[in-house]
Amino acid sequence: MKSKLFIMLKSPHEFTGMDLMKSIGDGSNTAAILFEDAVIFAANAKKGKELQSAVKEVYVMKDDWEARGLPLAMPGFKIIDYPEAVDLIMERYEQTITV
Amino acid sequence: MKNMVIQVRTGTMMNMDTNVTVKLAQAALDKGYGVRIFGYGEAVTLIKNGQDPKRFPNVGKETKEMLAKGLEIVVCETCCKARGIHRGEEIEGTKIGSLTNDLSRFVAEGERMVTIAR
Repeated sequence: MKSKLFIMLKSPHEFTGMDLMKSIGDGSNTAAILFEDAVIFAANAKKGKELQSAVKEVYVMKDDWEARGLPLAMPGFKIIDYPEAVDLIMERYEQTITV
Repeated sequence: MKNMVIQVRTGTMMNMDTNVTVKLAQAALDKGYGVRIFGYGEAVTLIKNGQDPKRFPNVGKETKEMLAKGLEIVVCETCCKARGIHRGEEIEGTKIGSLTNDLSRFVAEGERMVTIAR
């Protein structure tokens, strides 16, 4: 089964795709990159843990994270920059899926 | 050369989607990947010449700079027509094209496709 990288843009308050992520990611190597308001998952322990249960790794875009000045409630989430995001998309995972 | 294809459906200055698109494309080009962007729906505004936002990043200017690095960018002709954007109004080096001819070619020749849309 192909490894999958989920691209997330929406805040946890408007995001409704968690069950879909669990379903299509089941049994494969999965991760999520949080862009824009999706970085709020990293500041909200309850929502962050939900996301952590759906994928194996979570990456947070540094620019969007710093722009919002939020505390990090999920220390397991990794803060990355754009060159690292490119590596994940082009080399580390075989598919990207925007949810 | 490996190609990253970015399909974007959000217009400039609606939210940060086009800024994410531009930053991702810049980083991929700087790492030596080919980058192709296809703009659909409101995202056709990406290639409109003469963008001059006062309080937002100028993605038109950033797009021009990336063309010199090898970026290929095409937007949907039907979406342009619907919005009154006509050939001759696009940034030089960008293209008003089609889903069938251009997006399909991008997908066929690309290693990865990233969709930036809500």
